[in-house]
Amino acid sequence: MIAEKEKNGFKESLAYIFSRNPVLVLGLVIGQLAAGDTTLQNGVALSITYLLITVPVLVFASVIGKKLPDWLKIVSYAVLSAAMLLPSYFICGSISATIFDSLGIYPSLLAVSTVPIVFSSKIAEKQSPAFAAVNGLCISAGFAVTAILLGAAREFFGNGSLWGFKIAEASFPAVKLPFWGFILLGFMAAIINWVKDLIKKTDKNPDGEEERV
Amino acid sequence: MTYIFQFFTMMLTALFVENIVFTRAIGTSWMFYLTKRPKELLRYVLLLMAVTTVSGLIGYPLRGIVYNSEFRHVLIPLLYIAVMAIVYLAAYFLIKKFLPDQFEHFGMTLGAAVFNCATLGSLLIPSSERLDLIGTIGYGIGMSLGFGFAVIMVSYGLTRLEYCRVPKIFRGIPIALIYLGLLSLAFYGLVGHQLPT
Amino acid sequence: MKDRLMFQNAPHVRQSESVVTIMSGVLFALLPIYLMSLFYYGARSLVLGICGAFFCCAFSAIGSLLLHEKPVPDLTPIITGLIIPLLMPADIPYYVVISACAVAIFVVKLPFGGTGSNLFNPAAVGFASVAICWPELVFRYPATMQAIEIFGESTAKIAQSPAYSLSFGAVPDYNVLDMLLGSAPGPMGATNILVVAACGIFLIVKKAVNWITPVSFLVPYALLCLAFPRISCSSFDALCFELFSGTIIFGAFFMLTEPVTSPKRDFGKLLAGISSAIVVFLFRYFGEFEIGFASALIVMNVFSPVFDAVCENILHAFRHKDSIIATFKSDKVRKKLSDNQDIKAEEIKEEPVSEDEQEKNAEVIEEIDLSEKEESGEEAVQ
Repeated sequence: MIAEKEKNGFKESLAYIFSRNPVLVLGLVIGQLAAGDTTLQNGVALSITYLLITVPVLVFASVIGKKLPDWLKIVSYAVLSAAMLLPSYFICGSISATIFDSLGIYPSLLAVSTVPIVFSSKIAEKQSPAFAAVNGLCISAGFAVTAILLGAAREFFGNGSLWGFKIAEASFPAVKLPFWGFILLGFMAAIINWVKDLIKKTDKNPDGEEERV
Repeated sequence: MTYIFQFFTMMLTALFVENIVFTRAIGTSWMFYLTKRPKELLRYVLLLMAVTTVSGLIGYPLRGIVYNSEFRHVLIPLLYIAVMAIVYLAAYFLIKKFLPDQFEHFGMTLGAAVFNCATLGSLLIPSSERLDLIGTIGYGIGMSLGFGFAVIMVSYGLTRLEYCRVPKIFRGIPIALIYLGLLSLAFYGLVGHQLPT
Repeated sequence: MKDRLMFQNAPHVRQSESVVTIMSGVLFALLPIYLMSLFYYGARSLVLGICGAFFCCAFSAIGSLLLHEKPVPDLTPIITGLIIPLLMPADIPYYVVISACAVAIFVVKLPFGGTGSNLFNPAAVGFASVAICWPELVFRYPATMQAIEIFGESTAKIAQSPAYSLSFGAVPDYNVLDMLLGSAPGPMGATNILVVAACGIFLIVKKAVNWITPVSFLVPYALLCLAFPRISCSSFDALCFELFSGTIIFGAFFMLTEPVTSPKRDFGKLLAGISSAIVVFLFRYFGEFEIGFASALIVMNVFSPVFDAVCENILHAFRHKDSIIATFKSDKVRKKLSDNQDIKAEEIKEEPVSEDEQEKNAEVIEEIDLSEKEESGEEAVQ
């Protein structure tokens, strides 16, 4: 039986997709996107890897993790995350045979990111398995939205293509470099802040009148 | 003598030219975490150096087994995470036994400090570049120092940002990322090309 | 009567300098450089400058409107828009200049708060971004004395720049006089060294820039180039080639001296200039890219408040050296007294004291009291 608190919590989990986006609001997993997410295919591959790592580890933490001794918990989460790279390797291989070559070490770094290691030990252990799974799905969805948008934008402006299909000439080749990844993520985070402010203003006045600022 | 020269060359390359945060974009989240906790920086950098050195020593003879495997993208990180697990357990029990006062404070963050992107990145980069043992150790230590250097530079910049009239939508993570991007741009000018991973 | 009275709160401090007056001085200094580019490369150089200035102002206005701020009419976007094309070749496509202006305004100025709040030099970052993006366009220089088409594909003859030759350790094909007069190929505004230096001196005389920054940069840089020449020719020629190639002189007067990102104290400017010289030297000698000056400038922008802070600490220590020494001495005296009192307490506790010894102790206590009074007397004098 899911607690009443968790029923409300399911709605709050959906916030991980936008208003508590793990990358743009919580500031997790920034480097892997800035450096690795240079095409749409890379973005999708990183999203699949993150999903396959996050959800099983959070559920594991919820079911078994809380019963383990302290010294074994984080070790088991890290080893399980690394083991989940194997199914992701096979699934991402269907996108492109050399996708993991082009991504380099960045999918591996997802295995030791904050959510599988810290989030699972501090938060997921106190949740029910269903709630932990929903949290994991929502966090992965938030990550996927960011990764796909960023990858698509960088591939379009950097290569003039989308999903490997040439559409136009490359308009700004340097956008594939890591420093432009940071700058674009910064602007995406600013857009989220702008939308949140807009929602806050319209929520305060449900009649549609704009509040004087 | 050649080994000492190679060690220092690798260390300085990893520290400045191929800085783990600015040039390779690894460990940025942990870096932002440490900018708010400057007192933990020295402890963390020393821990990072110790973990990368010991893990590098243990993992170096083993990585040859999985280098040519079809699944090396999965097996190499699994190997290094297993090695980091051994180092973590050793550190956990040693600190608990010999430094119980420190363990109260340190024990909680030890796991997150050992298992994070900066640590794994410091082990995977020398592995993917096929450096020898001296190069691996030197590169790992240089990456640890480079991580500390990046934390200092970014925390200093974030302090300066408090005096700027940053627009509301850019306050917090957006301006920190843009600042980090501009610092990376400066270091890119030293490298001149995208580093392979 | 109304026009003569100013209604404002105290403090009533007025000075002749403002952002507009400083920037107008820089604007006047840039005009001769554009006129020389017009002479060497034709009207396209002027059109590039106007394009840069226009788009910087437009982007600045658009950004202010998007952030719901009132656009401030100052000359800083115009200056940025005029400096950016001067760092590039005269046949650069217009979209490269517009991209650099967009980066300078939307990435470097607006997110940090606009004029006065930027932490990095906008022109340097804009130039570095497009140079990384299109190096084959930004570092390909046309030969001088040919009128380049204003619009459309350029058919100008391309020549190898001295900076490129130096990076390979080769002696450039031009002599020092060519480089002084601007006959050598290079960035549009950075080749005619005589005109650039004259404009720089004009800025110093007009007090639009402080003389300390360019001098403290150029002198150490020259010494480093003399000490570690990259090419095998006479020391004077090697020094001139290093100083006159690329954007060293132009950058020293127009970019390093940017008032927002440079240190505020004179001594801080001196330290910053010397450090910039070392960093630019390292970037140019060991960097893989020809954006050595721009990259080094971005790194030095990070440290400019550090130089002010170091300067403040040194000056504070120098001004208050007497009180610092007195504090140090009084700490020593206090430590000595507390040691004596500890010894006295131990002697009284550990040994049963006979009457004779009590008398002796009393004498000892009197001596210590006397010595305390003498020392406190010295302190009072100090």
